[in-house]
Amino acid sequence: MNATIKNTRHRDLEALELRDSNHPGRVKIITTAILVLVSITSLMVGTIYIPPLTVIRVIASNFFPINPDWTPTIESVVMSVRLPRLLAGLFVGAGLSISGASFQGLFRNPLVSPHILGVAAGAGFGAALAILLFNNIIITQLFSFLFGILAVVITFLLSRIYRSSPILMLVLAGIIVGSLFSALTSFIKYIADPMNRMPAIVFWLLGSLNNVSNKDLAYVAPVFTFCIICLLLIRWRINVIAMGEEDARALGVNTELTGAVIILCATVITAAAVCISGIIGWIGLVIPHIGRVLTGPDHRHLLPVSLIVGAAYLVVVDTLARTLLVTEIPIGILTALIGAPFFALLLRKNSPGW
Amino acid sequence: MSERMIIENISFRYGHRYSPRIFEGLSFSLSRGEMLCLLGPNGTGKSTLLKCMIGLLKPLSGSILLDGENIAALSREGIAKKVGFVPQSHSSVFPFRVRDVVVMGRTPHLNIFSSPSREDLRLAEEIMESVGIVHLANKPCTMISGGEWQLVMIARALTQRPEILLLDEPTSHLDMGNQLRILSVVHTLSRSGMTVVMASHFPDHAFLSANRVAILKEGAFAALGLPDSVITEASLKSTYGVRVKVLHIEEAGRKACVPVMSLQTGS
Repeated sequence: MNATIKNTRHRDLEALELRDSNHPGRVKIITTAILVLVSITSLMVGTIYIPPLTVIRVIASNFFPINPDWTPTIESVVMSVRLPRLLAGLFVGAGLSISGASFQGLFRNPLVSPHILGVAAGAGFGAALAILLFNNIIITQLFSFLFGILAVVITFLLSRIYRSSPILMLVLAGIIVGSLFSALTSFIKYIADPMNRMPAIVFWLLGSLNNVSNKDLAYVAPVFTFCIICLLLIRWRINVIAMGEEDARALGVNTELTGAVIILCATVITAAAVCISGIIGWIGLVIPHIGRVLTGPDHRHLLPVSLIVGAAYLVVVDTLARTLLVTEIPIGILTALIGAPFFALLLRKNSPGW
Repeated sequence: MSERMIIENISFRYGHRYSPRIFEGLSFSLSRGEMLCLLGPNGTGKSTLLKCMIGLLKPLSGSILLDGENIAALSREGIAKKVGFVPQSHSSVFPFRVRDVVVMGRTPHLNIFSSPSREDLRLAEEIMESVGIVHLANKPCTMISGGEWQLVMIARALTQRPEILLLDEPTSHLDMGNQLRILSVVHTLSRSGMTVVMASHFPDHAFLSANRVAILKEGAFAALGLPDSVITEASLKSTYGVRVKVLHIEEAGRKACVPVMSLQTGS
């Protein structure tokens, strides 16, 4: 009697376990399929339509000997216009999302975005300063990257002054540094020439993947890849840290070192994203929530799923941004315009449980 | 010697130079299979002492030796392999499943890049079975009761495979049934050879499970020894400032503390 009860209970558990362990895998496969689909679609559409098979063959011809039966224009549209832009979208979307997911775990706060430590404000100021002084795209990118990192370094140092709860101090210091740099950016906008430089600054701050070249990608892609891999490697530790700093330390985690690695990786990713695409908000905050609805809070699955969903989402939004109207819509506006209602719907249907 | 942990003359204060000391010159040692119950009024430094003992806080002076090694010189991982800690009740922000929380106890045994293996999960399962929470394994940890959470925390600490277990008021906020359930789990552990230190608000708990009691009051041990000799009507009166009768209850086969209400307590 007792044995049967125990047996059925065990079987129930196993069934649960099976269903649960299948789930994240299925989510990853489905989201990856969607990602491939939207990527190919994004290469197809634009001012000229290119059929999907042609798109695939144009790309494949770089690796395999395929006789081109397409015009050189199509070749150049795919290879040097749409592909770099697609790759930039993939990297920026994936990077911001995984950074956001890692930060939300580290700070134990689902309202945190990768910009929380001031990286966007710093990068925005750097870019605005560079546009004001030099108006050269390479210097602008360099400045935004460096000032983004600088802002987080200041935040980090500021948080060390106080000895109590380092994580909380980091967030507060981030807010302080963020508002400081935002004020400086506003000041630059105010003194900039209102006919040329000021609109350039405003457009840059709104974000766009329009100006990304193959050369930019060659610099930025390895940085993205390296930091993303680092975060993926320590993703189980993020679970432990998400239980609270003291718990994590009692469980043997060197929280200062691990926290520093997470902050460093997420900051470099975000700064790299901002320097090629401007400030694209919303993604790093909300994609991790969508990931949690899809796969639960476990960072082992949450990080890869956020990565895939974030990449797909930004590619979709960027494709819409360049095809919806005759002129391009700044992507920073669209990410929120499309994402907000979608997220509201998702939350209504599928409460994440906090 | 069978002494696992030796605390020598430690003092502690929070913050800077002029803040008052929480305790001063505490010394004691813990041996294998010992169950020490730490009593004392609110805010007397019981939690602080436990946190010093696993190196979460650094004492101002004095030393804490774990199997002969100063814990100030040990890595977090090294300490966590030997000492488990059950924190005072709090909850998780994210709704991790209970199984995933329990298996976090394997952290000190895993390198920074790895996730728990099937082996680790099996161990976690075994421990959940022994603590009696295996039916919660797949529940989100934000949806369980306070008593269940406390058991989850104990299971997590046990999954570390520690030799010393520190519990910070594991029975606070729990109903009578859950209190006894936790005490019996703790009791079984110390019987099996684990060294246990438990901070508690209930002198009764010392009679139930401990073989040694310490009363921490105003920065020093007011008493330290066997439950029978430490927990007396006089010591409880001076510790908590209220009248308590310590009676031997034949039917229960043990001593019990019975508070007596008087109209002018304290001053």
